[in-house]
Amino acid sequence: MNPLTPAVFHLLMALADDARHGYAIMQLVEEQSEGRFRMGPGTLYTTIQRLVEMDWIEPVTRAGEDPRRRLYQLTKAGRQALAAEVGRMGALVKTARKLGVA
Amino acid sequence: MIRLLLALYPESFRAEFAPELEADFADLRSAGLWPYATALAEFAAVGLGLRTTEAIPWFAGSLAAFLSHWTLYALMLSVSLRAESPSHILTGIEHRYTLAFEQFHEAKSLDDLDSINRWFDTADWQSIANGQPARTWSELRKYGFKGLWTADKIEWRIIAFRLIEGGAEVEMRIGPFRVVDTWRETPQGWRRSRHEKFPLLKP
Repeated sequence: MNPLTPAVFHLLMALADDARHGYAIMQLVEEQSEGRFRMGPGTLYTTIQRLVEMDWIEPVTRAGEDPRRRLYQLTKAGRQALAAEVGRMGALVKTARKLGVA
Repeated sequence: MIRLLLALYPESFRAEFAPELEADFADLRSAGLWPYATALAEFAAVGLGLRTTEAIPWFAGSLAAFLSHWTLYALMLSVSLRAESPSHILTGIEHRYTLAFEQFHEAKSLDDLDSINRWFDTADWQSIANGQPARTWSELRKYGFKGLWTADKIEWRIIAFRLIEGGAEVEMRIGPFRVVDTWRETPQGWRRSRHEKFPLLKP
């Protein structure tokens, strides 16, 4: 599998432990990346649209949530893709350490 | 402003995400997660295809400031005419009905119905059923959750749509009823201001 783009990777990471709506994803990506990665609304929602089409994430409904917004959660395929990417990154870091880079 | 910029995106995208984006931009503006102008400029740039969704960090500093001022204002002027075309308005309203019926189906309490009323209807919304006197939401909610909610899946479809002075009129079939809803554009977006229900006449 090709490496994930930063937008896709961060979006999947933001949904790893719970379903979230778009605004919460934007906030969490900023927090998880310690401000190094900002996902604007254009990037966010075009990526969401693509990942829903790919069946990597899916919208879910929960009563009591802000009705203007939809929650998204990882599908099995999305979780597998995220795990594969984390594995790939881990192997790269291991190689870099062996080479004395990090 | 966001509704103008949405015209840069395909109709399928607008139909899918317009309410969420309106809510996000309202929160971005008030909470200051990051500069509102930068968020608008990023949204315009992605919509115009000036940047892909893959690279994020380059869009910062002076470029954002430049786009967020002169280019953005020019862009808004250029798209404003097509942003509010009748088909765009209808798509947005249809999407709101879809969301509202989804939320209604999932509702568990009167609070959930209140919540739908707040984002779907105007504060002075009125409902008229079969020629009875007009009632407001606060009058209707006295019937309680059980009196207003049904577990049945509601079948609905839009039959006709037309722009009227100050808003739009939507004729629908909802279950066995013919319904005419009036919509008004408010600072928060399109909201339903009047709901009139008639029995469907059998041929």
